[in-house]
Amino acid sequence: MDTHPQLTGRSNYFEDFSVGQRMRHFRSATIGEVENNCLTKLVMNTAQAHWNEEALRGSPLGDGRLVFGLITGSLTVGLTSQDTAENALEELGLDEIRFRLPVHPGDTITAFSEVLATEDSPAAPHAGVVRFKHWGRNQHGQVVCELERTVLVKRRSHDHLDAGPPPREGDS
Amino acid sequence: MSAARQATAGAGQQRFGCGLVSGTDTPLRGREFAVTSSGHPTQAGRPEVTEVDFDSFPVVAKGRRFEDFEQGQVLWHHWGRTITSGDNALFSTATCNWNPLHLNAEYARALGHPDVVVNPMLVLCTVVGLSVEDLSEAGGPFLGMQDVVFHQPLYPGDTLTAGSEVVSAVGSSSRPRDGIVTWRTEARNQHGELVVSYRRTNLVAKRRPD
Repeated sequence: MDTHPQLTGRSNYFEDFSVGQRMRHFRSATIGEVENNCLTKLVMNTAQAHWNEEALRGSPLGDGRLVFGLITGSLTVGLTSQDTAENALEELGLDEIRFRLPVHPGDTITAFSEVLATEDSPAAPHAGVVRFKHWGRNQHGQVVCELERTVLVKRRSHDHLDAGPPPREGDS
Repeated sequence: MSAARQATAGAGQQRFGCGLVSGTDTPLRGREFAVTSSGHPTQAGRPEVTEVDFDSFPVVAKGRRFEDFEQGQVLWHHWGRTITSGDNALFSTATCNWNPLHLNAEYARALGHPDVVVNPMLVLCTVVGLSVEDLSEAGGPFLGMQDVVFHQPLYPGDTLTAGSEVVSAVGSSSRPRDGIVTWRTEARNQHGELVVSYRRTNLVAKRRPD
């Protein structure tokens, strides 16, 4: 526990989150071949509308590939992760996942978060449960996905990592 | 090509679709040439060209329609998937989830884990992926998911298998061509332990519109 004192941030422990707190996350990401084509196949999603450029040609959904909704969702969560889960012990769950608009390769996702709740965790007194609402927005300002996410986050008061590096031999 | 010559192209030879046959005036699309099983051209010294009516080949259809679902039906999904450390590193980095819990094994060990914890979003995406052919491949927008619970961590080398039960299958009054189906899906590791569960709802195309 005390071998890596400086690996995670200092401003995202359980005590740092408060209900109603809002965050616009600093980095956005464009969905390209790696994010959609590669990851959708990596996770065994056989629906070819995500990776066959011809599959939807002429359909009411429009020409071209559709991004797998959970890739958009995963990228939204990823873009929030440093600010919301860098000091997480465990991802507990998700809820109310909605995909509001189609996303196409080339679209850029920006993530937003709000803290919905903070709770003690009787099973983990060294941590607490934070419930977030996340939104993923495209480059036109439209919300494309939203979800709630529950994370078990370390308490600063109980984190040995926060006590600084272990004393070295010879230190006085 | 005559029927007799087509027959001789059978034994010991394989047929490959090919659009790169030159020196003829027939359209390139939809032709094939014959080669021996060792991959060499036939004895005539050049590829034998024939017409194949690809439009007549029956599609090996995948996926289920709305009529194929009924409440209480249980579906065990195909394939399973062993999640490797490479899967986890690729997925986590490509989705900007650089959390050391998922990417730094020493950090994860310091928190009591035997290895990095597989990114739960990868677990969720993989389980949904394994279920797609059975549940949603035949078409229809993904409406949403509820009650996603990550019951325990997954580690590189663990194997996921998944199954779903139909919670409800109801028609849509506003969309005569679709129904709305909700499933509860569970995935377990190689020890039979529950790893993730959730409910998922999709529009599913009907075979016969109302």
